[in-house]
Amino acid sequence: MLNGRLERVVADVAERPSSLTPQGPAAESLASLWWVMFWLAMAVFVAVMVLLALSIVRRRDLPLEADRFTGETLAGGSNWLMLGGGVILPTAVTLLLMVLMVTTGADLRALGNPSQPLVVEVTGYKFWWDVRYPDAGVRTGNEIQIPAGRPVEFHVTSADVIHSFWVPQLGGKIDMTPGEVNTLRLQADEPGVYRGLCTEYCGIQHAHMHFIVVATPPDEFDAWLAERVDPPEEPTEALAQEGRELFERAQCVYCHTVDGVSPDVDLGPDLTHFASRRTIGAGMLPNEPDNLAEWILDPQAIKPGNRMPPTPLTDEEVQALIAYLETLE
Amino acid sequence: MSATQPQATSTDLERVWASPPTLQGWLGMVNHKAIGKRFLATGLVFFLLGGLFALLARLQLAYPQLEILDAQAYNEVFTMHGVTMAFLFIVPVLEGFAIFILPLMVGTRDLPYPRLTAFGYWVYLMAGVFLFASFLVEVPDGGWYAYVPFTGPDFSPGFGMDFWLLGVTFLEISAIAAGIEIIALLVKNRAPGMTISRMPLFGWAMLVTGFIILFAFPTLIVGSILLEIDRKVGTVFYNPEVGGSAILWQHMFWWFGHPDVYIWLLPGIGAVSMIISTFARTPLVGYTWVVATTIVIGVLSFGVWVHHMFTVGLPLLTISFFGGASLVFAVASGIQVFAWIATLWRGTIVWSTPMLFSIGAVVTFIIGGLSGVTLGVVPFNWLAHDTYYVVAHFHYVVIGGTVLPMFAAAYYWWPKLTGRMLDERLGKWNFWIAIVGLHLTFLPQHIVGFLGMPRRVYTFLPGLGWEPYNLASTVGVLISAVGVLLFVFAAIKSRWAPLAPPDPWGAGTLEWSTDSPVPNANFERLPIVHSRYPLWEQPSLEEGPEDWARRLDTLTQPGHRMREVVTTSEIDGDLQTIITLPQQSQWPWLTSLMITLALVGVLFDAYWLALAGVVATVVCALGWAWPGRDYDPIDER
Amino acid sequence: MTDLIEQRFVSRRRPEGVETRPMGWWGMLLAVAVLATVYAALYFTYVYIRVSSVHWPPEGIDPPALGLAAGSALALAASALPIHLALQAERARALIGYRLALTAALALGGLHGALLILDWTRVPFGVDEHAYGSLYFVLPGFHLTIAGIGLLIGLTLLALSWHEEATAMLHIGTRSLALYWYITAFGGVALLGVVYLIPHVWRVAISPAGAGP
Repeated sequence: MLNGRLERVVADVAERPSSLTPQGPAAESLASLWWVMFWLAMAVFVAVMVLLALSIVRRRDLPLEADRFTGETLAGGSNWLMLGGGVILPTAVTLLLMVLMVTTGADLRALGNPSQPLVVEVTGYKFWWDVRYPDAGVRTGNEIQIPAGRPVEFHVTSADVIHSFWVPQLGGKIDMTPGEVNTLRLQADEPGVYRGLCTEYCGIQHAHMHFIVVATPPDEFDAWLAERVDPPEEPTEALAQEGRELFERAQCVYCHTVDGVSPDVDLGPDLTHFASRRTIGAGMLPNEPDNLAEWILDPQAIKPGNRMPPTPLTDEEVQALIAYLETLE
Repeated sequence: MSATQPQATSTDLERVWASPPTLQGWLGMVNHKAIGKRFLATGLVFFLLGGLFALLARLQLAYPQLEILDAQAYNEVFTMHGVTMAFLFIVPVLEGFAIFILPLMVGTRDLPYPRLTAFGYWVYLMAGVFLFASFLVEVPDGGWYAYVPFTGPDFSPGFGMDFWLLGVTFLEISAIAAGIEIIALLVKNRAPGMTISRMPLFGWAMLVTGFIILFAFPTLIVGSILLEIDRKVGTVFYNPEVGGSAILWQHMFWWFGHPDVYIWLLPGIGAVSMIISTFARTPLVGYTWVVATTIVIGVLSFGVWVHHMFTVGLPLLTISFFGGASLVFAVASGIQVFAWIATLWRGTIVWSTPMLFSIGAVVTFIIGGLSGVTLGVVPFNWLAHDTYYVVAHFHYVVIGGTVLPMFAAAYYWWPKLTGRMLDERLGKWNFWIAIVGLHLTFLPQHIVGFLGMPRRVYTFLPGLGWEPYNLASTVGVLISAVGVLLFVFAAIKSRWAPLAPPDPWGAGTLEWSTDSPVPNANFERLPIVHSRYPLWEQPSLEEGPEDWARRLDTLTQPGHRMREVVTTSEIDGDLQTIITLPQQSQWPWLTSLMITLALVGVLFDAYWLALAGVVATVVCALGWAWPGRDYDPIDER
Repeated sequence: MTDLIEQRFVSRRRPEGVETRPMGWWGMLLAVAVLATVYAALYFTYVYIRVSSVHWPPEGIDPPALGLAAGSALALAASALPIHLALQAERARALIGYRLALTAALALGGLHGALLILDWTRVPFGVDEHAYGSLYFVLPGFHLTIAGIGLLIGLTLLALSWHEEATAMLHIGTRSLALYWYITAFGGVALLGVVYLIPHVWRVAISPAGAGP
């Protein structure tokens, strides 16, 4: 059951989260750094293996009784081997890597225009992501929309335990520590949909704490953001209105904020723009009615140990609720 | 040698150093060989348990969304895999091995504080049982390095993490005791004439390791006590909401944790140096280089701990410093590797299972070292941290630097431990199967880390491209398990092998001058040493300055009922005094048991029990210190 | 490369009659290294948490009163002298002087502990409101535990001094206690300095909170 549904997520929703297919300048810089180091390591490994093999294979006419080397100094050839292989080679490699470290670090810091990046605040929770656009006053969860081709500055922290924020195709990761706010600059070169993950063990469902990053052309992004400043309109259609009432009666409002409907709470993700999200459960299932019904009725069957309890509802009630949620663009 | 007094018969000396085969004798055993073997046997059991956890975890990860282990069970299994391997297997086995072999290697009869040695073992055993008792109550699930706030009172309210904190802290006492023993032995109890520069390289490795233990472990003890009282008493050291810091734990842990991995590495590479030198039929090339690099590694190991924290958000300047310092290990390791290569170059190779494992270790260690160097480059670390790339790296260095050398050491020193040889044919199968299995397990993990797979995930979503690597890795673990079981089989089978000669490999250091198995008193007469490889370079172990020979002779005369060893000067190895050692004592296990009771009291908030345990511990310590019968000859009690 | 160490260290035999250190002394020396590391970890903990905060002490708490702590530190420092005297008395086998010196050391040690605990009863905060409070009690608490063990060792030696066959034990034990007590006194005085003086001299953060080392 679960396997079949989850199959559809990755194929449909986002690209594979491979840091070797970089989609932004930070990730490209890191990928190049890796390949330089890889070939360097290969060269060193091959050279050392050749020397090792030679040293084993070469024949010497020594009796099997051990040589008596009482007081003998190190033979000249061995000295050069020690000095060359053991000191000079690693020192050279080390210095080269230090240079690479400094230059790549500088590259990553210089990313983008320092004066006007778009700021996105992300707070980690067990096991979901709270996303805010402070300048626009927009709040969402588990999915981050960003303008392609512009640098985005993420301010990250945690509301409970340590999490970590990583979008492999866009750059490196940064920890989300309670009591601290860390900064990470990322940029997506092209429009696309990328997968992000939590990369610090945070508890029972750490494995399923993913998020989606959607990069859109800048003007589309600006329009998207502007549209979401105002609270969503009240539903007009009957089923959705029923769902709206159910949203309060079934106590969804205690954990989930919908702008204009429930006050700011943070026990679960903000649902104000839920309909435009691609996944449910922080990157686990595609956001489709069947999945949504299953999730609402028993989230513990899909993501055991997460904080959302099962909600006992009849089929009609679930349909109404889903109809309402679908109005929350 | 004196002409007037007769030499003691071996049986006299053997009787003084023997222990009665009674329960009292078994409990009260303080001789290093018995204690060392206990460490090794117990360590093997924990190795198999830790390996079982690894097997379970990897079975769960063979395919996406399997349900062999549920999320909670998996999190407990990976935590206990790390805890068992890191705390209950690696360090105790290395300690135990050092406890067994070092007195033989440096030419004496026992460690200088035999009751402390015994205490170290009992603490290890009881702490191990304590930790595994968690399976009856609640298993720790915070990972082997237990980051806060997850492991604090708010997010881990049950007993699980208390087992971790109390058990690991208890265990560290055992390691500190071993560290003190080993340093004291190597500084003061070497054979007369063994100047510090004639000490075998394994001795240097253990000397530096001992110091690392002394300066690294106490920090974790302090940090763990602070966390435990946060959990039990309500202090807020690690609570950022009221002035504490979650990052403080990381500093406290990794100040211990990074040197810890060099505690794992140095004995392994020390053993490899001894083995390669024997099977290349030549003294190790570059002895002084290797000693220098061992010391440098020991000191440098304290200067890089922040490289476990590059993604925490610390200032770039700070972490760049630690990154640069981490890269310097490449130079230290390079010297060690090239000393081995130079030795092989000069020598004539004799193949044997220990040699196979040693060469396999070197190759594996180099791979792990290369991936480690990449992780020291800070920006790359931001990519690879907390992914399977790191898992691959540290398993490569642990397996190459510690586990394969342990197998090499087992095959090499088995005749000293048990008196018999391990089967060479089985050994070769053991080696090849284990090597194939281990590389198949961990090589793909580098790749899947790049593909985004984080550490410590109980399962993964399908379609992300992670499947083939996980499957390969699981198959690898199954193959490795076969390799390990072959070793266990070979170990059992060796009981029926013929007794081995004193020096089956033709090696050059002192331990090979003893019979196999080693007699109770180790040496009939304490050796006098003039070189690094006494069995290769000295015609006799008994020639030396007149007064040394005379004094050593008096020690072996009949009528000596006490256990006596000698002390020598720290640098020059000049004979100084004769010291008497205890023969049997019940205090070590009693004291250890009382501490265990106190910890159980703290664990379950039964403070009356905790207090009683503390008082009882103090009483036992008093009994231990008070002049008693521990030094008396056993048959006079 | 020649065997440099071999050539440079010509055998330096200790002249006959010069006492070598007992084996137990080496063990205690190494144990002292462990203790020193413990104290260093305590200092680090204090400074790290201080650096992670803006105001120190936190709002609403006054910097600590120094009277009792100063008295405690003085008593602790002073206790090193009778330990030294006890060492000399033991070497001279002057048992009465030995017992007096040990008792004085124990009394001063006990006094330093009592004054510190008295200070604890007089502060208005506890361990659980803020890390400042946790540090205030727990770090000196570690030290008092270490000192307490030292006092127990001292009491044991005092008792042993009446035991006829304990001369060797007394010899090793006194030298070991001296090592132990010196590090405890030094580490403890420094710790009291850290806990009681830092809130007076380092009240405002150097950099914004959260920008740790």
